[in-house]
Amino acid sequence: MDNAAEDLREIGPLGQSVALTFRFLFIAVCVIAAGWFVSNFRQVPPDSQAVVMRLGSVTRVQGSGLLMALPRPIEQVVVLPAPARQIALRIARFDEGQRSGGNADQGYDLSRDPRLNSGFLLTGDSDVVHMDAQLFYQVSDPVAYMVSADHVRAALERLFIASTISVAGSRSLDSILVARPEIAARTAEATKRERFRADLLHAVNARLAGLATAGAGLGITVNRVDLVPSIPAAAKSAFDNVLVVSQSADTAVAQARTAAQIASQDANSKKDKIATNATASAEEVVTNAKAQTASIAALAQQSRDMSRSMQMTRLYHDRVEPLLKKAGGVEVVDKGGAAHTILPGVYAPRNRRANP
Amino acid sequence: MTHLDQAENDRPFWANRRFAVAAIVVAALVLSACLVLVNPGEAVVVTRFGNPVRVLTSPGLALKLPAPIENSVVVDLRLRTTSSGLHDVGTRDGLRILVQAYIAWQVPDDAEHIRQFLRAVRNRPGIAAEQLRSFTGSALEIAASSFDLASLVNTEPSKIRLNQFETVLNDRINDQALRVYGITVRQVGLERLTLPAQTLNATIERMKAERDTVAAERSAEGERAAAQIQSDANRDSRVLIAQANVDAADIEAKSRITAATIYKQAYSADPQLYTLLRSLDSLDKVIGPNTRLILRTDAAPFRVLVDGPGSAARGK
Repeated sequence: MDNAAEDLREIGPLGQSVALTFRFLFIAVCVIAAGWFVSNFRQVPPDSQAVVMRLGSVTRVQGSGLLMALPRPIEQVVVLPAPARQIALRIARFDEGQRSGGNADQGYDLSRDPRLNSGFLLTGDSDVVHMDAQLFYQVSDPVAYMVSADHVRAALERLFIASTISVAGSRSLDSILVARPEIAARTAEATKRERFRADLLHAVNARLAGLATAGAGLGITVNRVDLVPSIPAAAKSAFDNVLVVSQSADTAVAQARTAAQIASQDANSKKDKIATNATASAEEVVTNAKAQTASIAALAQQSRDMSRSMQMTRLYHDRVEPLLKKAGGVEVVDKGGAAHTILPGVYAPRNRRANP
Repeated sequence: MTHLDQAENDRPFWANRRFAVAAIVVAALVLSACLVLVNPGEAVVVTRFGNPVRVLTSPGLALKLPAPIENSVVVDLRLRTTSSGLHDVGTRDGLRILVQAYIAWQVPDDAEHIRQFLRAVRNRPGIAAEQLRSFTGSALEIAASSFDLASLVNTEPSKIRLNQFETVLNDRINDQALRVYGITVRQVGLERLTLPAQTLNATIERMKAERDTVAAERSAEGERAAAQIQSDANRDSRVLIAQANVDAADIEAKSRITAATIYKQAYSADPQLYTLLRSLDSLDKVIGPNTRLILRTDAAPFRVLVDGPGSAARGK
């Protein structure tokens, strides 16, 4: 210690400054070296995973938590999405067309530039359908994903579009969306519609698997496809009109059924009325017959107790009086006069000459 | 001379701290010039005075002579996708369709093809993609001419040959690409398969016309059904009322038969009395307030007025 202090005194003030500077630099370098050594110590977030490469070779893949790796260039750390993270990819090429009137519900208009008509796909029954799609994928092979990370989205979009062309081209319009109710209602079409997204998912994953088998995998698996198929805007009104016309036709049929029901009820009512009237009339006829013959039967029984001529006379007088009273006028002529004549006419009391 | 300088001079050369640090730095520089790092997805071609002598494809560290004796060229082995661009091609059935294919390609990790790629396109993937695009356009025209449109889009799965189309295209492109450019095609797919704008418009117009036809059919069916329902209802009503009239007539006829039986029984009981009373009943119906009767004086009961009591005793 005494020797060091003596040495400092011997080298003078300038030498002392230089020595101190070097010592400071040495400490600074040590601090930088320590910082460099821990530069690859990092936290891996819950939605990420890290691939560690040592001198270019992948040594390990680590999930979330504290990652301790040797500093660059000895070890390199690449942070990737965790396997469980759902990464969305909107198929931008399907959105290149123009929305009719700016409204999504009016569908897409065809463009004169065929490059902007990517969203319009041919169906198996030679119709045209527009697709709007978004898919979700996961990282299934971190190393492959890391290698091809820059190209994944572009390649996936192309693979998906090719799959969509293939799947849409193998089925009818109504097995993609409900366009023609008379066809769409069939069980086979409904089943295909339900399976459309699953088939598309299978097709795009098959293409990804094909690349992986060839040693050029993208390291991803598509696990969901959100698809919005629609009818081209130019034809949409015609498709909608069928429904409108069908509703009108159904309304006309319903109104006809209502009118038929009313007519049926009227007819039944008339029928009941006719039957009731007929029954009443029949009963009246029978009752009248009974009423008109009741006195005959009764008098026929009484004939045993009374002489016949007396009975007839009494009946005659009993019945004639009301008849003569009922008539509007009774005229009496001489027995040698004109024949007996009964003339209907207007009742004229002042012209009566005689009343019974 | 200080004590420090004296102590430094007393140590051996290799133990001198300053020289040791300098030696380490120089050694590190020389070593770094001799090291080559091969990353995943890459290959490194080591050239000696410009001539490729070695191709390193395995990721890791390798040694080479320092520059300018040996240099390293990094070749990207990652998968790339290239579009053919939109092509108007003719199908076997004479239709014009618009197709666009994508080609997923990469430089294979074998030394021969990596060298080929390096020589053919100067390690520039952009040039390779450009030439591949042109070549694919030509291959599309040839491949499409062997397929009908109905074999590319069809609702019958057995008739679809889209996979074969892609395979034909792949084989045609891959063979040439590997031989000429040293690249291999991993997958080919159609990323556009459509009709020219005018044909597409016509197709949409046809779809529209078909729906208009269906709408007209629906309307006619509805009107016909409504008319049928109304007609049936009117017919059923008329039949019902006619049947009711028949039944009513039957009831009336039966009532008249019953009445006739009653009248017959009454007549049988006393024909003279029946005739008298029924005649009087008939007169009762005929005579009304507007009836004027003209009778002779010798007719009952007016005969009493003329003949006196004697006529009453003789009867009418």
